[in-house]
Amino acid sequence: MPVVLTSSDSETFTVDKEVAERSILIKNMIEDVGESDSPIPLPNVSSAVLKKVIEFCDHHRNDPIQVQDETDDPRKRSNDIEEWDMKFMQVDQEMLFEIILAANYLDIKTLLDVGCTTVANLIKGKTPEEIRKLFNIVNDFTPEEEAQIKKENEWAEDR
Amino acid sequence: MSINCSVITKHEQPHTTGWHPLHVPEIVAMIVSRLTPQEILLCRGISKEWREIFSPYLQLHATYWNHGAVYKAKFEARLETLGQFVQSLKQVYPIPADLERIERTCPELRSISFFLHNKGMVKTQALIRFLEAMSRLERIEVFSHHDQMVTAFLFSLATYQLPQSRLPSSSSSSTLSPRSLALNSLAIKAAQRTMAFPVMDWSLLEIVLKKHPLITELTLQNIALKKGSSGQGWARSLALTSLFGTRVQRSWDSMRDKVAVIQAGMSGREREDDVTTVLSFKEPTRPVTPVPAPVIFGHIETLVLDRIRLDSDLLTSILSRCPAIRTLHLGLLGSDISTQVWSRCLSNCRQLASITVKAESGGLHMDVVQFWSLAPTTLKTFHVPHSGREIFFSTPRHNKNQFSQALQHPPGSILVSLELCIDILVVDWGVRYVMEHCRSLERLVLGFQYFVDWEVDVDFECFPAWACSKSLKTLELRSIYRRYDQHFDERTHEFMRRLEDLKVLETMVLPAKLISDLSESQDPYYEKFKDLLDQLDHRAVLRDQEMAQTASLSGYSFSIDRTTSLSTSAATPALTQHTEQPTSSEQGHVWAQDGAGPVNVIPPLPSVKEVVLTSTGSIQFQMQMRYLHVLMEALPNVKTIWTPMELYNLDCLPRFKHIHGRFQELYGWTDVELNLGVPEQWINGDR
Repeated sequence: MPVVLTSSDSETFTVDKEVAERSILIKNMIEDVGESDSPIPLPNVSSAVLKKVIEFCDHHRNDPIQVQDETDDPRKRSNDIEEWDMKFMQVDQEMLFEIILAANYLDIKTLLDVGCTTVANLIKGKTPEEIRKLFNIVNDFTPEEEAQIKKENEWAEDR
Repeated sequence: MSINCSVITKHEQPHTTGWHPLHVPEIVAMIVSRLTPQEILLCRGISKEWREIFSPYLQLHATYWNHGAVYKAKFEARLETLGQFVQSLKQVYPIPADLERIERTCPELRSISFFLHNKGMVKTQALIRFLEAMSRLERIEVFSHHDQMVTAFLFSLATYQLPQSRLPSSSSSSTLSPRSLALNSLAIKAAQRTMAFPVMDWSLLEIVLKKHPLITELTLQNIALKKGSSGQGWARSLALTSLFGTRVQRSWDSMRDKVAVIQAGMSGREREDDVTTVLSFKEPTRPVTPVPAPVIFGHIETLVLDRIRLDSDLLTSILSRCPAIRTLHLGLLGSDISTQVWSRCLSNCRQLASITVKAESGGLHMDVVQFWSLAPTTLKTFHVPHSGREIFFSTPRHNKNQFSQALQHPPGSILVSLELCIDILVVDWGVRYVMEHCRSLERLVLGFQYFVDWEVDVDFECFPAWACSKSLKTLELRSIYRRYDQHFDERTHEFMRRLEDLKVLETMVLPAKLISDLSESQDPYYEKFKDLLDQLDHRAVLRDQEMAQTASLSGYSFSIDRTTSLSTSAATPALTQHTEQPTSSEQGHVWAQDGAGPVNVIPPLPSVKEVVLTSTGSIQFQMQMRYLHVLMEALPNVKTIWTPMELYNLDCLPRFKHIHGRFQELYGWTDVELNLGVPEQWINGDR
């Protein structure tokens, strides 16, 4: 059975139920409301982002649903991303952050994982100045604070 | 990027456009979980906003720099600025100045590892004050070069939760201070510097365990455990008095008296000889009656005794006091534990889920099937990573009754993970027992010998079907090789053929020499396969010769054409780009696709995705292409093959490069990865 989703800018998307239910939020809504033809409003997601989210869900429609595991050891988390997912995430930074926010709102664990790993991988191996440049951040520390930070960062350099 | 740092939850998340993921704590938590502490530290230095966002997630783990005044000063300066983020510290000398600094700078410290290398290092008053102040400590590890220091340390641990004034006369066990409830892991490790083992009195440890009822994990390493004898007690008293003074000695003795009274009460009911042992340690100063309840440490869930010397009575006593043990690691050294002891020990451990047994110098006797029959139904993991003949499978004729009764649920049938390297022959009844009865196994490490002496006489019929055919995902075969191994046991072929039963096997680990021995055997059934391997080897040799000649000629013409100096290498085919491409008939057609070829020494295992070849230890043995032919024919869906560096001897990289090149030529179309090394989880010790 198809499900109709409405984005924040009132664009509608018709998707298979199994694709839509990759989102735990939508799954719960369907379960609560029951079978219905009326569109599901997603006021926090724009059409451009929703299109990308649907593309991701469609690609992963047959994957096992990831359950949040409280005991999951963060040290064992991998920063590897599958090839398709990596290509999927090759978007501009604004879209990347929009996708992460949408994944969090729609409760799509796999998409959130891929998005956060992408951001982490962007940070990895860069100097503070490179990170500032990448994320367009202004260094607002005073010279004294800057000196203190430099001292602190020595800890990271020595490891 | 301008970010408003007020945090929001998922349900409050506003319209996504214009908002930023770093405003949402759960998203930040996911991002930082993929960053190292050093990277988080750098993120704190990006801007004021990032500093506020990332600081709560910074957790540092450090080793105290004690060597050299300059380094020590540098490290201590860092503690002054970043100490608030330090979660664990290793190699701390418990000297008052350092303890004071850690107490002041590291309020969030959860784990501390002390290094006691100097006899006068432990100042108990300073240590007790430190431990009382560090209310978040969850794990304490002590590594000592002197057993007297360990005793002093235990005294501090037993004391620190109680006000000093209450120590001498307090007899109640309900005086636990809430701050002590954080400590849940205690590890005491001694350096073995002489032939004599450091000695520790278990009774002292009991006092500590009684004072800290949330300790769930206790680790002891390199220690001879005793249960106080009078002579030892006297010596200890002297040592304590001389080190810490009479006041501390009195406090300590008082605590030991209380434990002695309790133990005497229990021993009176259980074993007469225990009373003698305990009371001889120290005459109780109060009447034995009324008898309190036995000291039971129901909070201990993990007990690690690694390289420990103790007698069977003490082992039984310890296990009887720890009924909630789930994980038990028994690494005993020079102890004499008979097969009869296990019935007494295991009857008290009704929640045991995992046991690892290591007997490095013998003395630990165990009939495996009997042990499994005594173990509780919670036991899922049984590991014997290395042992001699003291751990064995007695044959059915020795325990027929027990065996016939257990047919419905034979001992070992509920094990999920089994590691059994007990120096048995491939035709030993133990191997067949595992195959036939261990039906729940998901991981099996099986060590066996397949070279036999003439005189070996084993009651052998045939190998049974694998009972774990639908559950076993990882199989590791190990073998011990000796320099003068006599005769290959041809029945090893039959064992290997039975692997065909394993329908869901994903990972297989086996010695490369096993493949070699199988393929070199004289069994006529595999003769044609051997011929085929020989032909492939022969073809490869001819091809290498041809390439060498081509390279040589090419180098000659190169030197003539370019008239360059004589130093130009004449035999570097890779550089001269004259690598011969495989013929179309060769690539992808090494093996007949219809399976009509000669019978491989390894049966078809279509479920296997990963193979790890292992080296043979001290025996010189080199990797050859024919082993890969065997694997590629038997495992149609393999994705990765690992070959350790040891298989390529000293000229590791050129040899691997050569084999890898040949492998790519012949099997490149399959996308199978041939790797040099071992899987990452092996390096991390998570094998």
